[in-house]
Amino acid sequence: MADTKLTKEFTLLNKYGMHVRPAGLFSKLASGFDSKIEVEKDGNIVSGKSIMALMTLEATCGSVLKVTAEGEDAEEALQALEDLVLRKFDIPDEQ
Amino acid sequence: MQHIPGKGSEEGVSFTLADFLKAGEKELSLTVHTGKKGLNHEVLVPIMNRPGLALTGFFEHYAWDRLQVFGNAEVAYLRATDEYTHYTRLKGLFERKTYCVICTNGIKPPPKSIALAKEYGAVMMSTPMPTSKFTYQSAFVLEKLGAPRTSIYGTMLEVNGLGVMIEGDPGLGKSETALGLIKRGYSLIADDLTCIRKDVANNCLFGSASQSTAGFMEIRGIGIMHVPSVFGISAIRGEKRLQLVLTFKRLAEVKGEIDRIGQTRRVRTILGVDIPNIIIPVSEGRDLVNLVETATYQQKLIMSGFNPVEVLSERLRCRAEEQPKGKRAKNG
Repeated sequence: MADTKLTKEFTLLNKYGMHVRPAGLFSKLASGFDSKIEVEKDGNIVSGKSIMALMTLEATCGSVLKVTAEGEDAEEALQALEDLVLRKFDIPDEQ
Repeated sequence: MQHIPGKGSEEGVSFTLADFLKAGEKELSLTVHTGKKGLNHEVLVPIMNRPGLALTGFFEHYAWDRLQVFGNAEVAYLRATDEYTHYTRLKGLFERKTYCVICTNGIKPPPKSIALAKEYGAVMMSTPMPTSKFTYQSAFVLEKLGAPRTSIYGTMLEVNGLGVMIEGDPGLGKSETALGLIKRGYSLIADDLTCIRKDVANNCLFGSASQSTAGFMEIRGIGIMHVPSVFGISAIRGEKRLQLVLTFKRLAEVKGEIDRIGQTRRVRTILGVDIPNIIIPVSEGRDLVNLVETATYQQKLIMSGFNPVEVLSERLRCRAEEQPKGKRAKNG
């Protein structure tokens, strides 16, 4: 039962970047997976399951997030998180 | 400079003159005269140097990599020299890679030094502060800027005057415990992510919240809370020395690891500093707020020199010694 560790880079596309709502949606989605999820920006690494920690990254529109998932559902987790970022978090006024 | 989460460095952080200027904005009242471009220069050795001896022409051991301070003495000496010497000595200073000169006492930088600084891309600053006060204050600013720092997944509070960090896996109730402690009148320092700075001179650690989220915490089910608005301003505080780390662990995970006596002194090493550490087994029905509070009382007692285990051992030993004699005395 080898745990997979995958890394993908996402660019934030929504207008205001990783503020409260996106951080909330991101952490909620990430928490649904068993994998350990970490988000890195400019060398700062935080847990992708913590809303407060995600906000400390101060990522803005255009920022590149390096997301690492480690666990059995790593691939699914990365796919789901990437979709969320690409959909600009489904926030209507930030499309 | 902001606390950077997740960026751990035991050697300390490099910073530029611009960072120094910003960090010392209030305390040092520095004005930049020339060399705005040079502000991106790294502060190589974060110490002030009085280059008096170099100005007399003795450049051996000249500490060019420090920040140079021109006080009354340096400026008076330059004034007393003839024009040629004045120029060559200053030139000598900048030729040796000097990147920052600060004039204290509100002295205007000598015009030649400004021109030379421009030529060599160095920064010329001045402050109205007296030299002694400036060097003293700037030492604090520089120390803070260059301090080794990291961040740790943990919630930090001040409990009974002790800086306590609670760490453990998500979902064990760290934030809920913090909430209970806040309600008992203790103060929150950081929720979820604690920024740690090392005070190298005193070999101790200071914890604080990230500037972007300070004062806020997330409680599952309730959402994001602004702690001082809900509980009052005394419910939060800024930086605090870290004196105790409590690690929450699921009971099933700590079997055999729990010290029933409390005699083994565990430590948690952060940035090379050992902090007393206690593992708190978490299971349903345990009153974590009470446990954390009691752990701090116990820690304070131990720090004061009282060791409950030794006291109890001593009592048992004394009683054991007395008992047979007592029996014999009675029988005899």
